[in-house]
Amino acid sequence: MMNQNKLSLLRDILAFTLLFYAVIAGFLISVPESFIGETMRNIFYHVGMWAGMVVMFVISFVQSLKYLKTNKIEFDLKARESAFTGLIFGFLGIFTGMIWAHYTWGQFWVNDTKLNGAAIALLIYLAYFVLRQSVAEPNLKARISSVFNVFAFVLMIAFIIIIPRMGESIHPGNSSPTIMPSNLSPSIRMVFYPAMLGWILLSWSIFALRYRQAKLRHDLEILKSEISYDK
Amino acid sequence: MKKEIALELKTRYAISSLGLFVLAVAFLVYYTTEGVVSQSEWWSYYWIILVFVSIQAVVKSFLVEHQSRQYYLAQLASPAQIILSKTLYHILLLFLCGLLIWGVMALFLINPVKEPLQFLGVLFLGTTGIAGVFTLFSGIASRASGNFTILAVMCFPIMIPFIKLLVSQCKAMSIQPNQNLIVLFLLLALLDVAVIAMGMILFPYIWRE
Repeated sequence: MMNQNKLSLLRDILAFTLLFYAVIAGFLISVPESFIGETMRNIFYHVGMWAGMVVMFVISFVQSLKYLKTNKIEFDLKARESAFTGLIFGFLGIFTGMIWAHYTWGQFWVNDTKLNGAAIALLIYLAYFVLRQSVAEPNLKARISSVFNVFAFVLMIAFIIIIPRMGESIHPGNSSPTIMPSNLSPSIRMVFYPAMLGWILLSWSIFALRYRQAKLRHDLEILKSEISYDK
Repeated sequence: MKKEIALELKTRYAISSLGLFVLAVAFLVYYTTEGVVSQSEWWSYYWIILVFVSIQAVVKSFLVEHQSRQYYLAQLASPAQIILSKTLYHILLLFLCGLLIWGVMALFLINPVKEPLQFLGVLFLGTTGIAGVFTLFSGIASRASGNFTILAVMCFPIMIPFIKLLVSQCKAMSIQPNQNLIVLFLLLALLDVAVIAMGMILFPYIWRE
């Protein structure tokens, strides 16, 4: 237990340090001349937020699978909290992306397959929470939302593989080689990789904290119900 | 589980109301566009109407059923059989709806279908995917406090990419007929199989008490 606490403390400190470094260095280093100019610095923040979101959604999917297998409510709590954290990071990613898009493409929202795919992913997870709210009975809620989570995640991945084939995207990434990590200049890479790791660790820290809170609240509810049962 | 289909067919009013719904929506499109639509607009309207009709058609499958009949079904067949039979029934129903919408919209507006056989293939594979997803979600919605909105909220985000794929392929087909569609068909069929298989795996978790 002690060891676990130390590890999570280490993780929190590492996340903080890396992001601290990313914020300071991200604004101080010189970025290479390109058509997007100084807005290039957003890569340290925007991309990392998406990475955090993806990691959280994958965790959520795995926890939902575990719940369906074991029926232990802890896994469902984990799935919920990681989905929530992923949603927060997704919205942050969308907002930073919109600011970036405003300066590089001239609009806050561009009709682009990648952007629309991101919006769809967020809609799906919003639906997940609406679904949770609509069921009162805890076990049924956990089971139904786990089924939805697993099904939605697999379909989402399947579609995300297909969508890029449907149209050209102006957003950099797997299909267009304009800004791949290997194409980044060394000075940017010096900040980019630590920043990515920092964001992922931060999302993990938030998730762990939220899960601890949810677990405590859950245990408290059980204790309360036991007390009222004794009376 | 052909029994299921027979049971569903007994509720005639549901099917006739679906038909009327299709007719009314197609007329609405005709009236608001004043009869002038381009081919690509036609395809967008077509699939959007089909999705809405699909939700209408599928929503009743679990929601309307009485609790007692659900228990009866649960004793009669395994959950996987139930979802499979319901999905098959919905494929048939939605395919017929698709044909009806095509007929009505071709009558009122234009008919952009150049290769009927290819179109029927896309329609069949498309409705199979829609039916697979919607049937499972309607099972989920029936266990949630079971209203129409929750079903729509779950279905739409997931189906947007799928519908987009179908619309853009149909547009391409009517602009440039006689193109090689084997890849598209394989892709759609693969998705359909995946959707139905996942439904059969996951449905028992929703169904059991």
